[in-house]
Amino acid sequence: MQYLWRAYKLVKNQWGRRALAGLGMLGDSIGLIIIPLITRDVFDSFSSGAPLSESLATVRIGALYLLAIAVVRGFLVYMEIYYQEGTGSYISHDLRKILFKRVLYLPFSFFDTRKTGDLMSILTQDVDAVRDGTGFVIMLIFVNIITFVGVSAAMLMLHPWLTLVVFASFPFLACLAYWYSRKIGPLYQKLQEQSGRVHTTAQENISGIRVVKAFTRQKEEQEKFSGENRMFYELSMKIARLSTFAHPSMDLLGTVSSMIALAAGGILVIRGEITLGTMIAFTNFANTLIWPVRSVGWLSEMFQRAIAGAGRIYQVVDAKDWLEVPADPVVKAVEGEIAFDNVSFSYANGEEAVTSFSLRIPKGSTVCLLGMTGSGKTTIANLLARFYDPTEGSITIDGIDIRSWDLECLRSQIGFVFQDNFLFSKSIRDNITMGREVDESAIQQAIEAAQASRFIAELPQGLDTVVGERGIGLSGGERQRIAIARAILQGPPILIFDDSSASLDMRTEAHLQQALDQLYQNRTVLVIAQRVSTAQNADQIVVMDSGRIVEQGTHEELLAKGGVYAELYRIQSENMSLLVEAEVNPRDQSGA
Amino acid sequence: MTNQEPNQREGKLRDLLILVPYVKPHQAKLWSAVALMIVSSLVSIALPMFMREAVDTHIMAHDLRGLVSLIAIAFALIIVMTVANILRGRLMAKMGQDSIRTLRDDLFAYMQKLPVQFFDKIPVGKLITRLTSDVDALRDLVGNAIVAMVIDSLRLVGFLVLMFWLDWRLTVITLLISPILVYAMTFLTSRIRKAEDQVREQASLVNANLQESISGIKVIQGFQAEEHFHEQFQVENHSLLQAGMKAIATYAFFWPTIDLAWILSIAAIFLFGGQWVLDGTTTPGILVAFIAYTDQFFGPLRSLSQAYRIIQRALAGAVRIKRIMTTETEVNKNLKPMPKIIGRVEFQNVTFGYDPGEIVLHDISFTAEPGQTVALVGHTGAGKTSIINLLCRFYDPIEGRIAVDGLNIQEHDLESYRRQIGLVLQEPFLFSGTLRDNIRFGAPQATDEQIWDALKTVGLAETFIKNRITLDTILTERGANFSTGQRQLLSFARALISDPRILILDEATAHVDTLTEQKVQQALQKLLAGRTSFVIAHRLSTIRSADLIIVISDGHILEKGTHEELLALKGEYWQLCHSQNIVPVS
Repeated sequence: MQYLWRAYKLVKNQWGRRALAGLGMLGDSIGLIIIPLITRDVFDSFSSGAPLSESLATVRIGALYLLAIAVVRGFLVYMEIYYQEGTGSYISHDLRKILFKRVLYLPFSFFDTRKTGDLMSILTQDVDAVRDGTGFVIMLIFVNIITFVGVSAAMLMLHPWLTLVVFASFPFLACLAYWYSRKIGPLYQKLQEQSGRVHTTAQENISGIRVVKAFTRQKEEQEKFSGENRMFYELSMKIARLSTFAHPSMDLLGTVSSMIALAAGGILVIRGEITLGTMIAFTNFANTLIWPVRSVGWLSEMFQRAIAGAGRIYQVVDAKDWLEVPADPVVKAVEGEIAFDNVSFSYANGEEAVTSFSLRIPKGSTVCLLGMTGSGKTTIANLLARFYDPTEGSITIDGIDIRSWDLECLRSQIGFVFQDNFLFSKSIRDNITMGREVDESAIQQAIEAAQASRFIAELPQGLDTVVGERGIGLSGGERQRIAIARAILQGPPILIFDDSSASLDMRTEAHLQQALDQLYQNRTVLVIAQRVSTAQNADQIVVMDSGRIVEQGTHEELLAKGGVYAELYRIQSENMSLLVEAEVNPRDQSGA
Repeated sequence: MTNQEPNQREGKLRDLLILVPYVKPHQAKLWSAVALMIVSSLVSIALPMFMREAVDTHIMAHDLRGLVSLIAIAFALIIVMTVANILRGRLMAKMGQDSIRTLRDDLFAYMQKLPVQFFDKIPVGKLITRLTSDVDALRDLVGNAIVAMVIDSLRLVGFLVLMFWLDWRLTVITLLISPILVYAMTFLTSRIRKAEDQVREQASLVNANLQESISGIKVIQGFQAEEHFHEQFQVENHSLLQAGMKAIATYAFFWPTIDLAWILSIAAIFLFGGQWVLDGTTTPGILVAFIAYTDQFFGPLRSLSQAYRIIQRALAGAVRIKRIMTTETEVNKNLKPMPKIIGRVEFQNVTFGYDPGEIVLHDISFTAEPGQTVALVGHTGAGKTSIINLLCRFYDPIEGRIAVDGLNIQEHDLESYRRQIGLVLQEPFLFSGTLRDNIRFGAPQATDEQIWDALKTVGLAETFIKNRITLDTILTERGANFSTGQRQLLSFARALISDPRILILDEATAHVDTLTEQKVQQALQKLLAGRTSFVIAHRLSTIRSADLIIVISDGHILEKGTHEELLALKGEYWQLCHSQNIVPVS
């Protein structure tokens, strides 16, 4: 609840808006109270026994009042809806803004424990729930309360006992509405989940249709889909059974109260206790109150959803910054000497990824980390860029602990080529510059050096071609070369190159090597690799397994040692040794 | 793209006929629902008449007994109406859900029989929309709209008839308000819908932006682009706010307008009706009834305009579903089953293109003897995958024939043929479900023991036991909780269990890291043993040991032979080998 209030307070200096919304609300409710009272006067004039001209005047004045009310109330209700819904819109806008900014700066450990989908649902569904909760839901709650209190007061003044009789069915109606909303809410949620499963089943089947057909699995797939479809059906039926019972029953209870007003009111009129107009006003009042009473259910449901959503939103907003900010951050140019000193790191789930890792990387040299998937190579890179802080030990750059550096200053001097070569759905130019103002010639140089200029030139709009999920598809090799151009353009003294995904075809690999040579010049480079061919030329090779260093040294040293690296080399060069046997490569011959 | 999204208006009423076979079994329910609906409509039309009766003949005449018995009758009718409404709701829901569930099942089953060619042409997302929103649109029609339209029209007509009968002058005056209602229902709603569409569009842009930023957070943070992305997001976010405010400005008109019409009509009834009551030409009871009618006029109007939209959507959905269900399937019941395959595969002068105008394979001929391994080598787009598509009979050649053990595969039953083929793709395509179900995908009767044997063979058993992964472990969407290498090995195990006579590996090891690949290579040898196999690979180690290497370029076979023969040729294959040896071996 306090979170929802926090969300509501986001809209600062909007008192004008809210005052107008409040005024509108008041007008809305007052109108609902006055109209039956006018009706009463009109009907009373029919049997008042007063002179015809007087009665006629009462009727006309009543009609004129209504005319005025219709117009004024129209304006007020418009104001009420516009300003209250508008407030909701502003709140969701501000929440999205704050959330997105927060997400952008959150440390990596935050993303490890949360799936993209979960975060997305906070950023979309929960924000919408809070928008509704602070928008029309709160508005309707207030309008309903004012209307209910006002109408009840008017009724009590007209005739207390009749009021109580008319109210008799309301507790039942409110309870039924509340019970129904509590029941139907979770069911709808389940239905949505089940609909997701139907969707996933279809999607898996259709994208894997070749596999399905090759394994002649059509029948089983059909059964699987049919099963999910049946679950969906059963949930839908459950909802239908509930709602087809609840709605007519609520209608019944509503009609009953106006029927009671008619019957009891009629009896009172016959007895001469009240006038015909009062009786008709009562039936109108009863009708007016049905809606506020019925809405108790779904309004409370929506309000609770908003509270829960606000809670989840502020979980993200209040998420702790795990990275400590130094008191006096170092801001200066990086030279490029790196040292890992006894570094250990465990992920939030307790899984130890790196154990007692020590390594010195001299300025300007290239180090290659080699190892299987899951051996801890990528974690080392993540630690160096301070995406995480080590659990134990320290990492220094130019002799200064990276925790003492200013984070922005540090990262701006470390370049990355990430494993997945992620591209945004923007132009290639934007993907390379990443929003910085850069000379056209610098971009040209970067793509030239990354061996990317040729394929970019062949694209329909060249550098301005939109790529990524919503743009045109590029091959793995092309994506990697764009990522390399991105790193070259940044021109950092330290470069981290995660090359462990490799599904490039043979020719592309050859091109790439030239791009890489460009990239490695005059930089301290940390390469993460799986292929010995990438490692060979490094100044230092570090072989990792289960988060520990297994071997370390130059290519020659490690070969001579005859350990894991030598074995790896043997396996991988088998691919090439046949070329030596066939004596097709003069370079090999001379080297042998 | 030949398959264009039909326009919303393209649907014709007769396209809805596809629903007939699904609704027919539920005819009895439909007619009972209609009958119940007529009952409840009649009651709801009659209720204001009771009010008039109560006021004019009983209350004004001080007839207490008459009033009580009148209300008693009204109560009875209301209860009848409630029961009728509950029953009608159940019947309609059952009918709608039952028939649509069958339709969805049938549509999916039909899709399973369509050729791969069909799936290549239409994006996955669109096909899923057919199975979900399009079917849902039809459900709304069957379960709701058709009946609602009948009942609402009936009620509107009923109201009007009774109103004219009560007092035609008052009716005319009340109807003077109708232009406002018509304006709200047509002009205003269509403007609101347009504004809301814009909001939705802008919201989806914002969401896409969010999603992408979260997926690419590492790149953003790594390149210090947080500010830039935040600014860009703010632009989209602000547009969303503006679109939202614009929609609200339009939307906020709706209820005040409806309210205005309602109060104005009461004012008019008072102004004129009041005078006529005093004249004695009408009665207070009639005024009461009129106020009640005007109050109820709006409901049916609104639901009619909703029904109109549902019909529009259902029509569009029906056309698209019909289009799928009239596409020719690949199933032909008249063909003889394929006998057990020994493994001799022949391509005889095969020419093929996905579009008749664009030939991708020219006059391909080769023979694989039983048990041989054939490696297909060539650049991306050379035609390797097309050969495999033909071999799996995902497509049929334009010219020439493909024979297995001397039998033309086109002349034999597809299912019995494919049952003997194993396929391992670059993307393993695992399905959400248990590990067990994924591995025995092609052989549902396989025992746990056999599955563990297969896992041992591909070298996964040990890791799985160590990490306490059992056969009941659930794979999340597409097996995301397993590493790429493991997924690929799982797809090997899947192929192994189905024990195919012909095995096809399409770049199956491309995503596997070198150390894992070593394991895979060993598994591969076991997989290939004793079967005719076709392999597409980039890694030389896989290709080298093949019995036959076919080098393809631009849809032509350039070279054919063993590794040694081809190297000796010093042609394209030699070149390819050369290019892979990027770093000289010292």
